[in-house]
Amino acid sequence: MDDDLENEFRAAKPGTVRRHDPIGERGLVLLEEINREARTHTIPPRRLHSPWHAAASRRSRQGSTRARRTVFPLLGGGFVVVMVAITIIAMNVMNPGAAVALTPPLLETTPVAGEPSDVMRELGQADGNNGGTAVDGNKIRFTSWALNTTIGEDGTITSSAVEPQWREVTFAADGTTRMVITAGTPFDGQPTGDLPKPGTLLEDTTYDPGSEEFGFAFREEPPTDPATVGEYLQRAIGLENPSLGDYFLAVGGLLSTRILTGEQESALVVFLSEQNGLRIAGSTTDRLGREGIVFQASGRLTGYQDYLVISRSGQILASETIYTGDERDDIPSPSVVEYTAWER
Amino acid sequence: MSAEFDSFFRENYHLVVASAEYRLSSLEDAEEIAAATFRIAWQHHATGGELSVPWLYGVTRNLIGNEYRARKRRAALVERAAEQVSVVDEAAEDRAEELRSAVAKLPQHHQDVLRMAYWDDLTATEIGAVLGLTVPTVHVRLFRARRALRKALVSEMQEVGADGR
Repeated sequence: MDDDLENEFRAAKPGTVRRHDPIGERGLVLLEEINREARTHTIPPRRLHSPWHAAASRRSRQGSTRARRTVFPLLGGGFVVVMVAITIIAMNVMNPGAAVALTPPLLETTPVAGEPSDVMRELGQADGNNGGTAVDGNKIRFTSWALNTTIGEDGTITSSAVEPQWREVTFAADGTTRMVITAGTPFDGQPTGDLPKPGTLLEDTTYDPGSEEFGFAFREEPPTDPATVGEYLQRAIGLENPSLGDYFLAVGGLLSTRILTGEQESALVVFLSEQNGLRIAGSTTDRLGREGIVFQASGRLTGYQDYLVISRSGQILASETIYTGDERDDIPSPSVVEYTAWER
Repeated sequence: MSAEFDSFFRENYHLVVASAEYRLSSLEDAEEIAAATFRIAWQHHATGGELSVPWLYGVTRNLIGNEYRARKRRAALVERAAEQVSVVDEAAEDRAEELRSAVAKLPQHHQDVLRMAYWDDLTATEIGAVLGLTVPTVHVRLFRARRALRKALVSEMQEVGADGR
């Protein structure tokens, strides 16, 4: 959308209020009302210690249930009725009924010894990674899948599993970029009734040189020095203090939009190995049948974990995002919500 | 009340009101939705829950959904809502009507990201958290939704042209 159309569409919003308008009298009155109610019915606020970790979250909620059981008898009956009513309303509102969508099976892992940073650094410096990420000279190819989640106007959350998509991106000598998307093979157990047959053409688009619609975030040449990778990725994703999960996702975006040299890929892996919070999930065979080590990161979205699969020769093979929270009822926890596997 | 809740309320009160107002075509109803939303938010916070924009947005959408369902049960309110919608549309400029009409004809997933980005003023990170998508995926969806909107506008203009001949 060009700037004019973007501005016109913003202006076409029905209504009189916008998100960043200063708070008015009605808002301040409501805040004071809630403040007064809170003073009358004191429940001490407590914070979850680890919002990223589902188990910690569940433990904390169990604790809060126990706390409420001791608090309620100490309070007036009327307040108990009000609080129970609010809780029931809140539970109904926060957990709308939804069909459970089928998601791809989780990768199986076996334990790997060693400190995560040491293991990843060794992979980043492996001698085998000197071929770059291109296939057939000027292309990148990958299979990707993401859960399709929609929130309807009536507030209902629906998620449906869609077909995996196979993508081929060709960087032509004239500067154009062609992206072809075809339907991939459904994962084991996925109902295939409404899905297009594998190989069905879904999209064939050619982007002009320098087009903002393809790979614009990664238009700068990636660095070969690990010390400058962080700054490069931060500029690309526009976050001042990215989490390791944000960096994982940025690396995935980079691999899907540019051909990297072995030296550039090595710099990425070595940079990631130096970040706090890196964990190893184990070794695995990825969705394209290749051996690799699975590294885990958190911090991007509450209730989600991000993963990268890296081969023994230092090639980034795949990325995965797994939901591990306990607030969605449209999918089980844990569930794969997105993956990409690059052909190498 | 904690300073954290106070700050969260002040920063996001108009996010809730703005989001509810255009969906319900009523500022008064939107302020009632905001009151219910933030009472739930306080209860959530007071029992240890994490406050976040995606969580708040989800609660708001669900309360709006409840209001839709209640309106369906109350015929008089449906009529009232329809009158208010027509008032808003009549007062709007032609171009705004054209854009709203084009967006309303798009598939639901395109409508969702366009409204979240341009009417609710959510960031890509917030949209990702609401829909369970990564930020790069949100950007891809926005690109596709914008492209679909452009095509819909061109198509609408061609239809108007054909009707005028």
